[in-house]
Order: sequence, then structure tokens, then C-alpha cells
Amino acid sequence: MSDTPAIATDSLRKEYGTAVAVRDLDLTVPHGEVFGFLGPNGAGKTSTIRMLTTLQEPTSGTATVAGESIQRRERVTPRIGYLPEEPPVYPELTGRENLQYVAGLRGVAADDRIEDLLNRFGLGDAANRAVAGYSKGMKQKLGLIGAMVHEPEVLFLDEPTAGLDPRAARTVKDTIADVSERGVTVFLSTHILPVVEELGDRVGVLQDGQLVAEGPPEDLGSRLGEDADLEDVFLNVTRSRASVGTAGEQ
Amino acid sequence: MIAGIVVGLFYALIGAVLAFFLGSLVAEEGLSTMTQPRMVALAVLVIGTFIVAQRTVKRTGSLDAPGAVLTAASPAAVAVGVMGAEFGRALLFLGVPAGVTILAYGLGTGDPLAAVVLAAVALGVLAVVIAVGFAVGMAARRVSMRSQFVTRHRGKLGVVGTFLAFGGYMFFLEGHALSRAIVDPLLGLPPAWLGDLALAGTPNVSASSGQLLGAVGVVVLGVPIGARAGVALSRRVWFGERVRPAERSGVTVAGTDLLGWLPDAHLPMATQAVVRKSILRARRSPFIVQYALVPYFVLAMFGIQFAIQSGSIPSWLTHGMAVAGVVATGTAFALNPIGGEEGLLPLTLTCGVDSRSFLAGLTVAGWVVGIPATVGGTILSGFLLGIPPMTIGSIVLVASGMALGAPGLAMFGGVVFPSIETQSLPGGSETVEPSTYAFLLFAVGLGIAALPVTVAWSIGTGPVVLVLAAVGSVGLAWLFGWAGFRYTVTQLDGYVPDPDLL
Repeated sequence: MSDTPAIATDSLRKEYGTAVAVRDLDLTVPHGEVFGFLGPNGAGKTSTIRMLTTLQEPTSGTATVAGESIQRRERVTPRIGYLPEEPPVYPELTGRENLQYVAGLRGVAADDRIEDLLNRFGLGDAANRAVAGYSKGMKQKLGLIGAMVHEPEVLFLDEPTAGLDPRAARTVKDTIADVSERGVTVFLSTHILPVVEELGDRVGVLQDGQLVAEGPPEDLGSRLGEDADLEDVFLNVTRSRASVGTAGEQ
Repeated sequence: MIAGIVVGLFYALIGAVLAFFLGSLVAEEGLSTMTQPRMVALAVLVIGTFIVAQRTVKRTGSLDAPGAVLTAASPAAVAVGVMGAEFGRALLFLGVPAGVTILAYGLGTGDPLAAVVLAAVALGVLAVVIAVGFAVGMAARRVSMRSQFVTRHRGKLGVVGTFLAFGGYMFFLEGHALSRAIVDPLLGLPPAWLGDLALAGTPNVSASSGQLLGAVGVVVLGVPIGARAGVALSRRVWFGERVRPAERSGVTVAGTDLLGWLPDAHLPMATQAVVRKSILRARRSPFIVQYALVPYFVLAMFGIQFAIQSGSIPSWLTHGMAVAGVVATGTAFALNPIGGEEGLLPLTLTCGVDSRSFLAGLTVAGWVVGIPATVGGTILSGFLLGIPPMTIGSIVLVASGMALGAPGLAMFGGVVFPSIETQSLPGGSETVEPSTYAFLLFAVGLGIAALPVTVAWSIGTGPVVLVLAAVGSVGLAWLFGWAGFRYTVTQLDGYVPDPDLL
């Protein structure tokens, strides 16, 4: 593993017309870390992920993912896995066919790995059924398998446990912990704070496109007080920013 | 919208002129028999009911946000509301042209009562048609949701039904003895007497009071009976349990290995994956490849019409099958290369697939499906028509040669006019329909490529010129296809999606 961080952004900025979604973001995520990316709705999390996954071009600034500039999609994309908020699956195809398609697109022969992941996620029995009949949780698990099928270096997960029942959420969390142990960097965007608290090596809180807090979850909590948890941190930093914004407007 | 209004006004004007002369003719000379008004009344009832039923099946029978609507109002109120909305919609679209036509008819007769009676009957017929049509549509929905067979084969049944309806329409239009034997008894029934009632206010037209009463009865009883049936069926549809097609109910879905005959080494893995995915999706949801089916549909429609009118197979069928095959090869999978990825677009763009391999997959998928269809359809129709094998072979060669270039040409249309709007399908699934403009651009390109051979064949040149023209057409199709493919590769390489699409 090189010394280059898995993800590094330098003054990364994204504007949509006059609206600024991401404001000169400087962020570094070392290899093998689970980085919890938090922020209220509209904070700029999804825009950041889209830029890092090469789906959108930054307005200014630079970033590297797995050591490659995000300007070079063909170099970045083979090294990353991405699970968007809505799992990318074809409803007409079976679970196995969807995964074979993803593996085929990536040019990897992964039949054994697909079987292994299907069984690990409890989808073995449903693998030959059309995805149209899958529950939300099953689709989410299938999407996650699809993002990991080629053994990426960096995994971008956007709300991976949203809509999952506790058992399915446990499987996803165990998988994140497992891939992290194997050295995969996980960039985890979610609203479910206990997930980040449990899995995150470090946390970044985004507000109005700016990183307003960053550090290990326990450190961030201890800054507020002995009993403070991540929820307190989140509410505190986003409230104080909101107050500043309100005061500024006044 | 404005074009639609202008066209509508144009037809309304023509209708008004015709209605004016018809009114004056009927008022002056009277009617010796009521056969024609009764046939018109029956036709309006049948066609109107069919249209409303079809709309109910496809659109109005399913509610937007049913949970919210059905917990806020009774199903009866909702059903009546849907029927009322259909009535209002019909008035909105037909009110002005129909009103103008009726007014002109009244002016033609010289008696305002003629227009008043005709307008009242028209409104009554509209109410009957909507109430009965809604009930018929809901009955069809109920059958569909309770029958595994109908649910699974809904698309095919719809196509067969449309062909049967069109064939039946042409059959009756031709006035065969059998069709007369079916229609004549119907003219003696109350629904047909609506024709008598519609002309009751016209001078010089007399109808028996019994028939007028019968026609009034059709409206007075038809509306409440149809509406009650519609309400009852709505309740069963909206609250009933739906059988799930095998693909969605946990039944194992069979795969396909249409590429088994292709040596794997000759195609990149990504290309093979795209081919398999495209064909599997199309097999399980044929609506995805609707533009590939359209030319065959049009061909069948004209073929049926020709066969009924002339009693023989149309001589143009072989050429038609060849053209349809080429169009199908291009449009099946390549007409919307980016938008057609639908919800998988983020995955496709972030999985490191080489654009060339990906687009080659769409191209090969089109060939795998389209070229056998082109060859098979052309040969079969050629033998049916008794065309010499040499001629059939020539047509097959030109068509399959042009089909090789068709996907590249289609994907050019698809990247110039991409389509990303998701469309809901019956049964709850969704798809992205390619742009009509993309299809038109593809059709224009294909037309230009086909020009040399078409012109040479039409003017009856000698064999050498015809062969040269055929080679020219195939060459143009290849050139356009190659250029379209190259252009699409560069577009996909640098493609950055609109944030709203992700």
C-alpha cells in the first residue's frame, strides 16, 4: 500500500448556477479507513460523492481517489465501487444475472465470488428470481454485492442501511467492517448516526458544503462533554452553523 | 399543443361544412331508411366504449397515490370522480369541434331544435360510453389481476387484441355478407335507436315513439347501470389481491444463452455482458424494444388491410419484411444508448467499462436479434409470395448488409436526441422510451442509405446498375453506422450526466 491517501481533496468546489453545493473542501482519507460522511439534507454529501466517483466534474479544485485524479475516469473507476442511494439493478433480471452483468462490465470473471457474496448476504435462495420481486433490503444487499464484486480499493456507500431491517442492516455493517479489515477504504455517507458511530474510524460533518467537524467519533464527542455522543456532536455543529447562518441573514 | 389546436380546428371546420350540407340535405329530402343513422350510433357506441375501456386499462383505472386517495374518500366517490374526470376531459377535447359540427348541422336544417336534440343525444351517448367503457375496462383489469396467464402474457394479448380489433374493423368496413348478418339484427335493438333519437328534432325525419323511448331508455338506464358496475368493479380492483407474474413471485426465472454459439474469445467480456443483459431484458419486458416491434406492427396492419380488401398476400410483403428487419436491428437496443441504461447509469459510468466495448454490446445484441429476423422474415414471405429464390437471396443480402450498419446509425440518433424520461408500464415496472426524434433521425439516415437501391429498383435498371446501387446502399449504411458508432463512443467517453438523472 502506498503512502498516498485513498481519498484526498484539495479545495474541491461544486457550483450549480449561483448555488454552491460544495465549498472548497479539503479532505484526506487514509487507506483502510471507514470514513463516516455526515451532514443534514442538502449539505453537499451527494455532490461530493458524485465528484469523487467521477459522475460529476468539480467546478474548481482537485481530488485523487486511489491515487488517481478524478479527472481521469478510466483510471479511477476500476479501483472504486459505488452504491448509490437507489441500488442500481435491472428489475427484469435475476439477482445472479444482475451481478454477472456488473462483473462482466468490469471485465472480471467472478462467478465464485458472486456465489460466495450471495450466500454471505443471504441471497443464495433468491439468486434466480427476478429482482422485481425483491424487497428494498434485498435490492440494497444486491447493490452492495455489485459494488464489491471486483474487490475495489475504495468503496463509496450512499445510505447503505437505509430501509433495511435490523438483520439486513447487521449484515451490511458486518460486511463494511470485514472489507475494512481487508484494507478497503470505505467512504460511508449516511443519516444513521449509530452506524457511523459503530463503524467509523473517523467522521466528517458537512454543512452548507463545508467540513465543520472532523475526527474520530469518540474525540468529537469528548469535545462536547463526557456523555456526548455523535448525535450530540452532529446537532451541535449543524445547529451552531445554522444559527450563524440565521444571524448572518439578519 | 398549438399545432394540435390548429389541426383540430381544421378538421372541425371540415366537419362543420359537411354537417351543414348533410343537415340541409336531410331536412329537404328526409330519410327513406334509418339504417345509416343507426349504424353510426352503433359505431360511436362501440368505438367510444372501446377507447374508454382501453384508457381505463392503461391509465385511468389505476390511481395516483391510491393509499392516500382511498383513505380520504369512498371508493364509490373516487370511481364516480374518475368517470366525471373522463367526461370533463372528453368535453374539453371534443366539445369545441363537436359543438361547431352540431351547430352547423342545425344551421343546415334551418331548425334550431335539430341542433339542440343532437347535442343532448351526443351528451347522453358520451355519458353512456364513459360509464360502460369504464366498467368494461375495470372488468378487464380485474380479469388481468386475477389470472396468472393474462398477467404474464398481457403484452402479447394486447397485440393480438389490437390486430383482431383492426381486422374486425376492416372486415365490417368491407361490408361482407357475414358482417351484414351480424350488424343487421343489431340495428333493430335500442342502442341503435339512438340514431333515430339524434335526428328526432330534424325536419322531415320521423321515428316511431317506441324507438325514441327505447333510445331514451338506453341513456337513462345505461348510465346508472354502467356507473354502478364500474363502482363495484373498481372496489374489487383497488382492494383486490393481484396474482404476481412468475418473474416477481419467487418462481425461478429461466436464463438464456443466445450467445452460446458465439466464440467467447471474439468478444470482450463487457460486450458479452451487455449483449446478454439486453436480450434477457427484452425477452422479459418486450416494451423495452417497442421501436423494433413498430415496423412489424405497421406491416401487419397494412398487410391485414390489403389481405381483407384484395383476398391475397400483398406483393410488397417481402420488401416490407426486409425493411422492418433492418429497422428492428437498429432500434432494438441502440436507439437510446445512454438513457436506456436507466437506473444503472451511475453504475455503468463508474464501473470502468470501455465505451467501445459497451456500445459494441448494444450493436451485437441488435445483430443477434435483428439479422435472423431480417433473413427469416424476408425468406418466409418471399416463398409465400412465390418470389424466385435468386430475388429473395438478393433482398436478403442487401437487407442483412444494411442491418449491420443500422445499430451505429441508431445510436447516433440516440445520443443526438437522448431520452431519460422514465415511463410507467402496466404492472408497476418502468422503462425509458427512446426519443421519437432519435427514431426519425435514424429513419432519415437509413432512408438516405437505401436511396440508391430503392431508386434503381423502382425505375427498373439493368442488373449491373442494380447490383452497384445495392452495394452503394450497403456501403452507405456501413459508413453511417461506423461514423455513428465512433461519434457515440466519443460522446460516452466524455459524458457527464445531469445531476437530476443520478
